[in-house]
Amino acid sequence: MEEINTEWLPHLSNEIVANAHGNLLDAYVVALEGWRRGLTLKWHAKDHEKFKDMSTWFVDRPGQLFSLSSNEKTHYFFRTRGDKVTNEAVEIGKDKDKTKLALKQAGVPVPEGKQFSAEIKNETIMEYASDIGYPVVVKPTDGSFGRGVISNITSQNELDYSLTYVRSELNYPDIILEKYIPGDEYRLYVVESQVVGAIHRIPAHVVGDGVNSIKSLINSKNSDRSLNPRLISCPITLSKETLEFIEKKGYTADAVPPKSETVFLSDKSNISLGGDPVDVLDEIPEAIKNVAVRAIQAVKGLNHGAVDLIRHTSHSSEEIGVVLELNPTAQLGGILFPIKGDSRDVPAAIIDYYFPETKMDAMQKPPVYFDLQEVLEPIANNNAVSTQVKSLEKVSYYAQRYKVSGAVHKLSYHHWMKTKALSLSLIGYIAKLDDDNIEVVVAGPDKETLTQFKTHLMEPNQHAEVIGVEEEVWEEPLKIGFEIQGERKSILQELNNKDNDLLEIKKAQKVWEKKYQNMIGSYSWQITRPLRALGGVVKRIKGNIHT
Amino acid sequence: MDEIDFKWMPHHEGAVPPAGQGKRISTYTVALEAWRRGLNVQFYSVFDDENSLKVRYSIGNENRVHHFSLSMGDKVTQEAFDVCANKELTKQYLSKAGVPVPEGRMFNENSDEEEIINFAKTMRFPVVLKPTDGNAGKGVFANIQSIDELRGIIPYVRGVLGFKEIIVENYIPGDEFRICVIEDRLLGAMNRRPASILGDGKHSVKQLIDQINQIRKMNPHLTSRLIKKDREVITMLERKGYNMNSIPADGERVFLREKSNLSAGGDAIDVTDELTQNVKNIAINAGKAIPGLFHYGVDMIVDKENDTGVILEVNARPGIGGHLFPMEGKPRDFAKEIIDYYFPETKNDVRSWLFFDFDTVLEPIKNRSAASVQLTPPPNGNIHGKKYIISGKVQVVGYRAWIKRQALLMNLHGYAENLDDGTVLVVVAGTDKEVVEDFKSICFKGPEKAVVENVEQSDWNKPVKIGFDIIQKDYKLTPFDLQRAEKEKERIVQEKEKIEREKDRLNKKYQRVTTSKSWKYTYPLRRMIELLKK
Repeated sequence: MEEINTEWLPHLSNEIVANAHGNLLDAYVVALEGWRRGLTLKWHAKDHEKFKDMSTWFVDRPGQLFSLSSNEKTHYFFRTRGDKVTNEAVEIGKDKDKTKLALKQAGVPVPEGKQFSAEIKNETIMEYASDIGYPVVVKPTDGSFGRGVISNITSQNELDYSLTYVRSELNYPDIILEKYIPGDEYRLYVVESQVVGAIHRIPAHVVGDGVNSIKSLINSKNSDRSLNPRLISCPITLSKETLEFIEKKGYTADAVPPKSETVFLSDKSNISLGGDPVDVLDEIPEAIKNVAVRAIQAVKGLNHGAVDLIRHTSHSSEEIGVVLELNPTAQLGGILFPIKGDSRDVPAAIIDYYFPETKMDAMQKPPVYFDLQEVLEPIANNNAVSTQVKSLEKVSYYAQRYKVSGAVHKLSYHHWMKTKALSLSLIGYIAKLDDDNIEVVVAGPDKETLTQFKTHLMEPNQHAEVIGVEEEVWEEPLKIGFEIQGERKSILQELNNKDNDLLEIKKAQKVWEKKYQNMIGSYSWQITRPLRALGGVVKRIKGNIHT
Repeated sequence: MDEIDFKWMPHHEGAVPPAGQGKRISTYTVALEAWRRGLNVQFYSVFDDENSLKVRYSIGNENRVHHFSLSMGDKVTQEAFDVCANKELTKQYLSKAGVPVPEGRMFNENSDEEEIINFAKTMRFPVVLKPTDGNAGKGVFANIQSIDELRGIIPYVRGVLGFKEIIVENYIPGDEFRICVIEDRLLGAMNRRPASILGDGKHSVKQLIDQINQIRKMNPHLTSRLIKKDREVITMLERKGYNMNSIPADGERVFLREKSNLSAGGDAIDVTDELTQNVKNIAINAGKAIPGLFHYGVDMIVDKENDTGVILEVNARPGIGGHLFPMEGKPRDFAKEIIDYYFPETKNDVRSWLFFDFDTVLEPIKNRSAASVQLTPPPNGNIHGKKYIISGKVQVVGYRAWIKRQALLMNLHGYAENLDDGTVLVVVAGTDKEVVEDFKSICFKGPEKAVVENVEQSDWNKPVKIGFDIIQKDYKLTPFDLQRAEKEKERIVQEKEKIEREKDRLNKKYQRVTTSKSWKYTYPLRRMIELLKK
């Protein structure tokens, strides 16, 4: 069994980040960092205020555009990218040829290669491959999540097949062909001249124990991954591609690999395809870090972002970094929630850069957060263009948990208690315990206020008969506001969130349906129908031979 | 029960969500008027000394922003507001300007009971005793007949209620009018009448109360202020020799309570047309007497016989609910007047027929998660609406949820509701007339499990809330509701999983086809076709 992390930065506990799934996570962690330092946080709808002029995408769903303000200034953010990154820099980051050109000019090592548009014939591309020499890599110009990337192509035949597959079948006619650089894949996050986070991305794999099959090893790895806020949304799948990949190595899904043998399931290191992020910030050589910093600085107006590079050992046994990609709007999940090693507080580094006057020790930050869904709801149902999160009044917090026993189940009592807590500027919640008693967790800026609240708890009350109050210090994170858990409201809200999720998935399904229909309806597919029928016959005959 | 017609202004019909009813009616209706004109509206919270939350709002047009508290905007100065908050100070300002006020005197905490009694002995009885800074009639004792009665009340108001500073003044009989004014223009007046019923010679007291309550429920200002059939009402009836089953004569008005508070079942009645020029002038002069008070309300006792009146109180932020939604008389749109006054340049702008979801907007503010929420302006263009009634097997088949998704995908606003006869009512509205009309075919289709037999259509000319709602019958919290909600959640989760599986299936199918052997075998053929195409 591999050793894996289940705990990361305490101020970004699972409970806190569970608030923000999928691509809302990146914006949330940066926004939360700024808000905790006392900055004013606002969430915005698409195209609101400065966002009209900022390069953004897929922002119909709120939770990705926000602004942070101090008394002196306001900065706007799209996910992890702030307005100190210019649109021109984003443009360069999106276009791999332009990226390469900028890096080359700055003397940053890049793999030799070129972009080919749809009208260029495969033959021309193959000629170019011969010029730069094999092995090579083919990837879509505008692809993402490793889709359509074929690496380590060693021969002309293989390249011919790969080009057809990627350009015609996957329908990515615009591609990049470049030299294949062997080595490990790293993602470094750079802010100005500092590398603030670095992970090694290891392609999806399992480690044998001599007992379990690959299939069941994947299952148990996925259940480990589900404990990780970043990896929960990208389990390893036993897709056709995976099966073909392990087949080449002589495995099937039911094979039982020997103890401690690592079986790779893909050659793509994307986390979304089941890759493992492992923290390496303290161990990578200065030379590699330097390459990353130079890469960020090579693009004017970039200032911060992620650098994807290959750690390559050259012929002269020198370690170099060869930069594959720059990402101005990088996801931070892998760096914040590595499967091994330390979490690096990149959100803090980003806020330090935008608001250096607010720099603070991680220990000083109160472990409080806000209900993201609740704050976004007016934007999500089209009623609001922006919502401002209630500011933190004080950054110091003391929290206590009281277990109140007796006849304390009445909602009117809970409401009375809520009013008391709010009048004392406390935050927290009330929840029913299994034994009909309740727990009340409150936090406030000083101990005296908490004592005062406790006195109220002990007072005789028309709504309840309190028998006892047990007390303990509370160290877990707390949400601002005061929630009475299990109220109809909270259930309805949950219902609403689920319904919104459903709508999202429905939309995604439509996209797939359309893609599929398009293909079925395509001319060549219809014309080859007789041939396909024949293929079926061939398969059957082959099957008979085998049995 | 017959359907009752909405008797107020058509642009308010069904357009006041629960959060805007009752005490937030001024805030909501003024903000709504601004929003409908395309002005920039933002709600935010402020906190008082006890840390209790107050909702405030701002309205902006380009770079000009005004802040509002209830019906009061920031043209009214803080000084004017402070004067109005103190009844003695108000009186001083008014007297100085020659505006009639009841005669009397203020006593602060240093005056003892004897001093007050001695002063009262010099006055004509009956008198009124009231605190200088109370509001909503708290601690006000009118019509005190004797020194002995006064002796009993003073310790109660100063001791038990804790109002140290009080006023003793002459009691003036007559009708108490609430009048609203903007600068030198009188907007209108209303009068409050204690809870009552009007006999028709046919229905019993009980039935008449129920009828009135039906109308009150429909009135956004009074929804939760119904006439309760409590001890006080029964005693009052007994005094007149009635009980709940008596049938009052046609045209006979039977009063059910003494006090006229709306919360006790009282009615607001528009009396604007009863005001004489003299009375109007007194109301307008009251405002001129207090510097910085550009719009306000006054409480005035009108003496019809002598065509005069005295001012009891000036309100810097009068509630306008009673004027917008009177139980008798003409509704007066003071929300419109206020916005016209602050943003005259938008006076003739087209108003959207939509309204915003005040409940959703206020929720994060009330829960203290959000400090402010800025509204999305309504869509440009005229709104077209249709009402569809769908019959067949359309309930308990996920019909409404399905319709909701279709409507949202098409940018339509509206709602869906299960009707008691097994049909579903769907209202959709949007700026694209064609889309709204074509929605009929969507209603016909329905989700997989539904069997639609008929779709009846008609025009919908009432306001529509932005977004799409599934109307739930019962808003009260019961364990059954929770169960139903949990079940509904379960259902949605299952549907979500089903759809996700379907998505995966399609995805796999797609992948399979593109990597299939026949696809590969037919590669030369496809290649040839491609070449031929060129």
